Amino acid sequence: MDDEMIERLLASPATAAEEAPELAMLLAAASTYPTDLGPVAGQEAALAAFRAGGVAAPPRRKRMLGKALAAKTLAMLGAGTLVLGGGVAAAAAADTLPVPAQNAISGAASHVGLDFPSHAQGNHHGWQNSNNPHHQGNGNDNQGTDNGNKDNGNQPDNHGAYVSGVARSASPGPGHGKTVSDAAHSQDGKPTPAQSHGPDANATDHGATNQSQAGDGAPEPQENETSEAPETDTSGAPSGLGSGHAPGSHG
Amino acid sequence: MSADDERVTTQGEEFARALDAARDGSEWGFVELFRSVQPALLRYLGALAGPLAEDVAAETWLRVVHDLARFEGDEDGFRAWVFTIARHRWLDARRAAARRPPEVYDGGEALAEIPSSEVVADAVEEAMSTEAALQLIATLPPDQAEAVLLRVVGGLDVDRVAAIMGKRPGHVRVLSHRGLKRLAVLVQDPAGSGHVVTQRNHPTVGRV
Repeated sequence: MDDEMIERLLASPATAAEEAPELAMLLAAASTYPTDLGPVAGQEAALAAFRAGGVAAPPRRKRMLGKALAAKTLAMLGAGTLVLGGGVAAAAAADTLPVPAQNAISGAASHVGLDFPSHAQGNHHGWQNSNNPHHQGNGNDNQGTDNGNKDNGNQPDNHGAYVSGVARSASPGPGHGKTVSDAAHSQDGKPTPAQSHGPDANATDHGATNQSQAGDGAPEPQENETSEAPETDTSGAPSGLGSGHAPGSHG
Repeated sequence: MSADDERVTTQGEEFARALDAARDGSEWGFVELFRSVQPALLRYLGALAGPLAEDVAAETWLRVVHDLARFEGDEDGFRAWVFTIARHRWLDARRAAARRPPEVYDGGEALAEIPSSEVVADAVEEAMSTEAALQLIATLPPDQAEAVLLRVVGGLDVDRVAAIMGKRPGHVRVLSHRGLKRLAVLVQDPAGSGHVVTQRNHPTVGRV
């Protein structure tokens, strides 16, 4: 029995039936069976498993790869933003950035409640911050308020702070009111005529909102709240989207 | 795949249709796939795993059902895939029952029980039954028996058998040739070591 015949027996036993009838018969018996079988052994169990579990979802290698890449890209961007943002923030906090950048970051940070020094602050004249277009929001007013409380009369940033300092430092008694009144009518803390062009120019350039900011701190938060309302809505969007996603995720 | 025998197969486009239908959840498609492989699978496992054959086959089909959507290939590839799963499941079952030797390879015991060469000759001359044929193949050394079963019963070529067994194609070819030569001796030489194995040793053989 040569190899060629063995190969024929393995591939097709009947083709070697003449040369090796017994072996061909044995192999044919092992490899054939009636074609009109009823249910094959195990068929019901396998079919039950098929019905119960169904077929697993198609491969999602591409989708998963895309998601993984997207997540990785986002992670890298986030890390880069953190690094760069952290570095810039640190530089801004240390007041080591160039003047325009420092003022810009200080103004931007003031919108989110962070207090970074600006070069306008460096001269301790809070009102001058209004010359900085980035300091027309809460930051400017917060700075003004903070400076007024912080410096407390030693070197008042504005007239109000000066008057407030006088009111606190004056001894209580019958003359307290007059002392405060005199302070209020004094020119201490008020900008010089040359300096007063700044806020006025700003008010001209930026309209009534800046006038109200310069003139009265109280309405300003309302103004800001109104102007930030879309942002609030936008910032609220994720929660809304989140709740909107929830059914989808459950689905 | 040979055209001379009556292997239940699903050829060409019919297989592709059945595969697509099964992927879409069609029971018809799955039944077609199942019936095209299960008889051969049970014979293969019956020779290897003995009484564990049906359990191993059931676990094999569970895996097939689970991963069917990931399968890509033709009918021969599908058969090879199913046999590969079955072999892994059999190895798992064998490890789980490590203290119990696989009965399929216990040729010495079978020989001791029925050492009659006349029985073998008679069986061949009287149109050997599938059961007897499989039991005779099962008396071969393990690698030889598996190579012959995968090639003859499974209808797989040398390369696919090599992939399933984790051997080189040349080694598979040698194993199957040696196995066939040994079988030829068993069926032709009544004075040799011909013997058959009783059905109680392999209760699943021939039950498809």
